[in-house]
Amino acid sequence: MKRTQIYLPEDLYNELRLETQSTKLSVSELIRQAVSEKLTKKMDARGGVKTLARIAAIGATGPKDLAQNLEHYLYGKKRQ
Amino acid sequence: MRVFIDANVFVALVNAKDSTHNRALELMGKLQKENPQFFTSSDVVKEAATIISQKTDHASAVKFLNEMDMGDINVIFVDSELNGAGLAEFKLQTSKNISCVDAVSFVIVKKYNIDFAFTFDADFRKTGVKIYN
Repeated sequence: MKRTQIYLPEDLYNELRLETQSTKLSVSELIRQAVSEKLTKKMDARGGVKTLARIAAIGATGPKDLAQNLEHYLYGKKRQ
Repeated sequence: MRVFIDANVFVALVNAKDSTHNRALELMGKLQKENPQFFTSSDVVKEAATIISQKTDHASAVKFLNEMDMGDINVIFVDSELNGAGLAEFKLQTSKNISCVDAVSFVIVKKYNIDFAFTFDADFRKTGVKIYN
């Protein structure tokens, strides 16, 4: 785990202290859970597949083996 | 499910003439059902944009980069810490076919608990990373 320091408004901190009493969890654990939940929700909501679909619609034309032999074209690696 | 996207997949999608284009679309359709969280690295994005520009056209590379800027795919920035870990991983590899960018990708896969790599590079498998297929 990485150690970090954050500043919280006093009212939020007080709410957090109350939550520790009802849940029996530490302030650190409650913050970890809240951050994790926030990031997971954000990532789930992201339209990664839609982005890939738009990338696939770019419709460029290049060599047939470009993806398969990407490192050949970039670095001179032996063709697959 | 967390999935790391390799440069060759971006290239396969952009290049409509690519022999792996349809396979990439097929796997993308399959992934869609699994609520994936996509990851890649800033190094991978640079590799893909460079080859798209050189072997297809620059305008397509710009379109690709603009899509990546939308933020729907988590692009892990390769900072000095990740770069150092990747180079250390590269030194441990015994295959001459593993690139430094690949090595950084392996480190990211481990660090972010990523389940699968979405790639057409057979050498990825040699490192023990699970390939989505």
